[in-house]
This record gives sequence, structure tokens and C-alpha cells, in this order.
Amino acid sequence: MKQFWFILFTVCMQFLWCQKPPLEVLQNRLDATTDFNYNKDAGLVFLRLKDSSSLTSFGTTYQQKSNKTAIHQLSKGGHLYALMAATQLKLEDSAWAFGKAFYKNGEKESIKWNETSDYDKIFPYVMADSIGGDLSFESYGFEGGYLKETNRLIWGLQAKYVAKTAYRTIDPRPKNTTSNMEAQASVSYKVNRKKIAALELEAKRYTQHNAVYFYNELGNPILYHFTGLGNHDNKLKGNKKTAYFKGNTFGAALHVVDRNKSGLFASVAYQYYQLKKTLPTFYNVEAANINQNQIRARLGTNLQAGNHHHAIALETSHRKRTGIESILFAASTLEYVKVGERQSYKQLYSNANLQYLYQYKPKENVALFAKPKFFYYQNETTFTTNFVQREVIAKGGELQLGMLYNPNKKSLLQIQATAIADRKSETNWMQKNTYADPNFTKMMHWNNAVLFANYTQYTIEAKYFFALFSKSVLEIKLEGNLQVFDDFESNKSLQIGVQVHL
Amino acid sequence: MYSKLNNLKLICIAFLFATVLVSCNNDDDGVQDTEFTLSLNMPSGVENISIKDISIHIKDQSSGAVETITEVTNNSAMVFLPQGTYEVSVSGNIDYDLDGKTKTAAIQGFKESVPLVNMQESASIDLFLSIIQNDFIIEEIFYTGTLSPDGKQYDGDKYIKLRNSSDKILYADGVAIAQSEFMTVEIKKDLAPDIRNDKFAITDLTIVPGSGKEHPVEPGGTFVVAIDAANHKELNSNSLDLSNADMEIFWADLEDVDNPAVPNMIEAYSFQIFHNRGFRSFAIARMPVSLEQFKADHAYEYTWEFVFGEFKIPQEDETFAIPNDWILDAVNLSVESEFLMLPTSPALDSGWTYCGKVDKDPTRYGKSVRRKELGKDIDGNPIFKDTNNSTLDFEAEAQPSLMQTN
Repeated sequence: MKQFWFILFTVCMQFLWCQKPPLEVLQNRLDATTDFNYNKDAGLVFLRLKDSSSLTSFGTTYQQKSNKTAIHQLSKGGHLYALMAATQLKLEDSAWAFGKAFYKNGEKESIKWNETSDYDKIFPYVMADSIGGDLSFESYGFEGGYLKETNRLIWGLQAKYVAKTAYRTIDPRPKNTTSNMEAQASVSYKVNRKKIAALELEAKRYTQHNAVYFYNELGNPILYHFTGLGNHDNKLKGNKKTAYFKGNTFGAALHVVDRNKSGLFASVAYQYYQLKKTLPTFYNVEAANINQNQIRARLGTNLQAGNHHHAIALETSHRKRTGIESILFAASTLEYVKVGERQSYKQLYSNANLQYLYQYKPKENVALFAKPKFFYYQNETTFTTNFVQREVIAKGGELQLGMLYNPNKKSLLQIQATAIADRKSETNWMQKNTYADPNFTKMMHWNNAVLFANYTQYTIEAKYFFALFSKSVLEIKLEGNLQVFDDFESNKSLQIGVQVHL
Repeated sequence: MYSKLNNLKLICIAFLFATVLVSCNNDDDGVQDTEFTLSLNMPSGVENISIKDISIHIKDQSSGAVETITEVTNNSAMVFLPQGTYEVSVSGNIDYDLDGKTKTAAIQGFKESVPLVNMQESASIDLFLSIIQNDFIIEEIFYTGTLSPDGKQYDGDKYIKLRNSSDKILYADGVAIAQSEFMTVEIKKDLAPDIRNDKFAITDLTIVPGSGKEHPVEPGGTFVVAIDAANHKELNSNSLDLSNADMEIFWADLEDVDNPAVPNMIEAYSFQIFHNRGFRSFAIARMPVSLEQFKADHAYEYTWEFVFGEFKIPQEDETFAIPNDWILDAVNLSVESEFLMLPTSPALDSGWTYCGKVDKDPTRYGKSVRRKELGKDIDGNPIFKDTNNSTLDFEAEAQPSLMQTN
């Protein structure tokens, strides 16, 4: 926490170097064509292109969620407080430094069959018990980077660190600490006045120490080490209460972007993720491995005609995750030796979507947009040793309508409304043998019902900015989300935020 | 400039198609099967063996899936199994020749852990003639104790119940009760000598006193040995009344309470305390020699290696061991999540039973293991299942029988 406040203080001192008025900078950043052209998940080159002005922001957010319809391993609701400070500074001619720090504190409600954090990174190898409960968490992070533009090149470096701890104060008591370090390097070549070709490389290191404690002197429930689709490793069942995860990610991406948001743009990115699970109780014997390959591509084009801006993009991604369990031999009571391995788990996820953007600027201070999208995805998960397979194929559409309105030089209003319809066209579940424990049958029955359910999701977001003083802007943000299911309780969330931009 | 732009467009389109092609690649992968050949080593000391029936259970220790084989060729069976580590248990019946006559006997075999990691693997398993004596059997072991109303452990109400399953009066005088030296939840690496196929190594021993005719038990009758022969309900409403037990275990050198109305077991070796999580095996035996002679002739010294990470520390221990021929009955106890090995020969017990599915299972209290009843004999006495396999012969996590009658 002390580091966070120090950085926040340092960041605040940078406001003196602000160049453009913050409101103008924000208006450029919020333009719908900016987001459409400069993919949010893409890299450093986009930071440069979004705007070249200095801006410093710090703020706070509160979020409340009710997610009763979610798989057991994810939370059914909760709340979160966050503090954030960020800055982008123009240091000299054509060089920028940027940094961000944040702190989050909150609670996740009613997590069952999962005592491990960061489910999206760890699945299917979570530790689990039938009790579960609420989980408190705290996280902080820092990131910083540098961009430099020369006649023909733009190059940049970025590093990021996030640490998190999650815990519960009643049995079962998980105590999980995670750390995530990322580094990214980018070099872009200016092909001509408009087009830039960029190469980006990334590397990440992730660790998690996952331990479950029980204070009840009479004993504890069974702790399982899940291996996928309701299966667990019988050999590790019981009182193996700690696990350690270490993962690496390597990625590369190629982008072709347009400075003026006109004409063609394209991206292709590849990422490899590998995670190892070891058991500290048994002298760090390797229990399981995850290997994941992911490739994404995006291709689109813009057409500007006066006040009308049209853009279309086709995006596709494919991800394959395989899980490999170690074959362990008990050489003595605490000596488990890895004698082989077997790949039991596989998940294939593919999606494609076609997006369209229409933006109309009837006046200089008003922008209206509509962004329809049609999507298709397929998710197939297989566990081969004790054969189980689940498949979901879905199609749907999304429509986003928005407005950005600057009534005077002193305020800015952005309103966006989104509706998503997700419809499952095909769902399959195949299982060779029933689960030995009926609790697993109940767990998977619920999870499948949630994953197979159709839903319609509505989101409304409003941001209001107004100038406080000549060089500062206050932002108030409100976002509400409602996810309606055919046969289940709706999920809802509300987020309120306040930021000051200098 | 125009041609550069066109090139860029072509490159972009090429990347997009490459993505699609890579995405469509769906290589076959999954668990490889191993061709596993299991050879059965028939019991020694018998001739002209032929297998009447056999059942081989091969259990994947990770997934819990069980493959069963009921036919063998030339004392060998072959099966395809996914790679993994397996537990193998064998039971069946054989015909063999003895003194010119053909006899039938039950056979047992057990192998704790067989790793299958290559395309082809083989292993052998020793089979033993089941040792079944026409004497007392262990009918029930209540080893978990109970919980007091305020949730505290209560240990004094444990007991072991023996049954005369024969058709004649048996005398309990001289019957010994022992717990195993080795636990079902540990592996002593490089144990030497490993005497389990010949003897039962003990960690404690108590013996029913008497001259030989002082403790008669009618056919179908029971003999209860309690940790404390008292009415435990007076102190713990969740407990039971053991004041009518036949014997009690009294530790003279500890702060134990003696019921003078109930005779005490002879403390032959160490303090007999029933492990309340069920990590040790129980055996009852008849010693054909005096206690002093037994201790003189059946001392057991052994060595093993204690492994602690990179450190390997040689260990030496000593105790006593009862020859398997003297054992009347044995029951292995364990918990599924921790089971590693059998402390007994498979000839005595090729399985194990339990109260609680995990170490320190809070639901284990107030439960016992009870031998399954198959029916009644002509005199109305219960007939119990006895195949020398506790996994099959016992009901796990049962309500203690003496709690039902109290």
C-alpha cells in the first residue's frame, strides 16, 4: 500500500506538464472510431496513436455484482473498491512516458468447488471442496512504459506487475497469493504517411501459491484436485492442501494500422501459455501441466464520407488448451515420483464475428454511432481418461448505440447502450461412466445448465465530464448491466466511478 | 507507394487465411493405451493347481476406474489400459492336490501400485492361499470413539467384538489382540526384511487371561473387549454403555480408570490405543507358546530409509511379529485418500475397510466397521461373510452394534 500512495503522489505532481486541455484529449479518446480501429487488446503502438497529449488521471470506483447464474467455480456476486492513478506524459519531442498504479479491495461471494484463484488461468486444475464460501481479496499493480517516435520508426517498452491475495476467515480457509509480471516490446515502421506496420512481442510470468487451512480440530472435508469436467485425481484426494502454480506466456503480434482511421487495418497475434502445477507437500513433484495455443486475427476497413464514417471488421480467434496429468508413483510416504504423464484434458474454443460501425457527426460537438455485431462461437471440452465431453455452439448478435456530446467547452457527455443476444444452437453432453460421488453429478448438472442457457444482456453506460478548473476535469461514470436468462435468475451489476483528469 | 499498399493488403489477407487454416487443424491427441500383461504366481507348497474361478480387479489410482478380468490363459492375463498407476487385487478359487486328494481353496493377491507408462508393460503378482481358521473372527471394530455434546473427542468408549462363528464352544482364554506395526497410510522405503507374507508385525499386544477354560463362548456368541468397560452415557450422552463388556484394556502405568467388575486384558506389549482415524490393522491370534517364549523367538528388527526431500536417512526399529499361521483373523483399516499399502499378507486380508473417506474426516465419529451378515444358520446364529477381503467382507461407516442395543 505504501508504494501505491507514493506513486500516486508522484503521478499527481506531473499535472503541470499537461499540454492540451484534458476535455479535448478525452473527447478524442472516447471517439467510437478510435476503439474500433485500435483494438483494446492490442499493444503499444495504439497508445501512441490514440492521442499524443499528456494526461494524468486518478480516481476511485465501486462495483456491486449479483451473479446468481454462474458456474459453481466462479463467484455469485460481490463488491469491489478500486483506486487508480494513471498518466501519459510527453517528455520531449516525440517521446512519451506512461504509468499506472491501482489498488483493489473487495469480496467475491459464494464460490463453490474452487479454492484456487484466477480460474481462467488455472482451469481445470483447481483445488476444491464441497463447502466453499465467500472470498475476500486485495490486489495492487503498477505498470509503466516508454514510447519513442523517430522519422520512420515508433518503438516502445512496457512492464507491468500485479500482485493479489485472496483469503477466507472460516473453514475451509484458502490463502492464495498470486503475482503476474508482464513485459512488452514494440517496433513500428511507418510505411507511408498513413499506414504503420507494427511488430509486438510480449512475455509474462505468473505464479500462485494456493493453500487451504482448517482450524476445526475435529477434522476437515475432502479436498479434491480436479482434473477436468468433474473428474479429480484420486491419488491426491484428501489432505494434499497446497499447490503451487507457475506459468509463462509468450506472444507475438503483427498490426497494420492507419493513423487517420481510414482504409485498411489488420492484426494477427499468436500467444503460447504454459502452466505447471506442483505439490509442495511432496517436495514439489509436478502434478499437472497446461499448454495453450491461441491465435487471433482481425481485418477491417474504414470509409469516410463527410460526416459519415463507416467501418467493418472481421475477427476470428482459435484457442486450444491441453491438460497433462503426471503419473505419480508413491516411492515412500512423502516421496511421490513422476514416472510418466498422460494428456487427459482438451479444450477447443473458436469464435468469429463480423462488426460494423456507423458514426455520424451532424455537428462538430456531437457524435452518434451504431455498432452491430454478429458472432459465432464453438466450445468443445473433452476429458479422455474417464470419457466426458461437453460441446456448446452458439450464435448471436450485439447492437451498441451511443452518443458523445460536447455541449460547451466545459463539459462532455457520453452515453452508450448495448444489447447482446446469445443463443445456443447446439449443446451436447456425453459421459461414459457416472461420477462416483453424486455431489459431482449435481455440480456438473448445474454448470452445464448455465453454459447451455440462452441469455440476453443489456448494458447502459454514462460518463459525464465537466471542467473543474482550467486544467482539470471531473468524470462521473455510471454503468449498469443486466443479464437475463431463459430459465434462471438474472445477473446484475452496478458500477460507479469518479475520476479527476489533469 | 501504391504497390507498397497493395503488398500490405495481400499480406493481411494471407495472414487471415493462415489463421483460419491453423484454426482448422485438429490433431488427434489424448491418453495412450498400454498393453499390460499380468502374470499370476500360484501359491507355493501345493501341486497340480487348476484355477476354478478368478477375478482380477485393476484400479486406476487417479481416475478410480476399475477394469475387471475373469479369464486367464496359462496363469496370465492381458488387457489394454490407459497410462497411469494401478492397484491390482486378485481373488478366486483353485483346486490342488494334497495327500492324494483334490482340495479347493480360496486365493488372494494384492499389489499396491503398478505404473504403466510405456506402450507395453508387464508385472507379476504373488497369490496366497487364504488363511481361514475355524475359530473366532473379528466381527466389529469401533475405533473412532464419539463426540461429546460440546463437540469434543471422547475416546473411552471404543471396543472390538469377536464372534464365535464355529459350531462348538470356543474359549477366549489366550486369544491375543494386536495392532499392526506398519500403517496402511505409509510406505517404509527399502523395508528389510519385509516379512509380511510370513508374519504380522505388531505395535502392541494384549491377551485374554485365563487357564484355558475360564472364558467360554457359545457357538454364535460374542466376546467384547472395551477400552473402558463403563457406562459412558453417564459422561457423554452421545456414547454407549460398555459396563457389560467381557474384558477391558487397563493401562496400569497411565491414568486409566479400572472397572473392578470387568476383568482386564494382559498388557503383553506396549499400550494398546486404538488409532481413531483407522491407520492400523487389527489381528487376533492364538499363541501356542508362552508370552516369554514368543518374545524370545519372534523379535523383529528391521531397517528402512526415511526420505525427506533430498535427504535419505537410514532408520532402524525393533518390535515383535506373530507368525501368520497363528493369526485367527485380521482386518486392515485405512482411509481412501491416504491408503498406500497393506500391513498384512493378502492371505490374511487382501483389502481394507474404513470410517471416514479422508484423513481427519469429521464425520467418522460414532461409526464402526462391521462384518456383513449373510443370513442365519439352522440354530438362528448369524452367518458372516469371510473371504479374507475386508473391502468386501465389512460394512464401512456403520452404526456401532452396541450403540443400537444400548
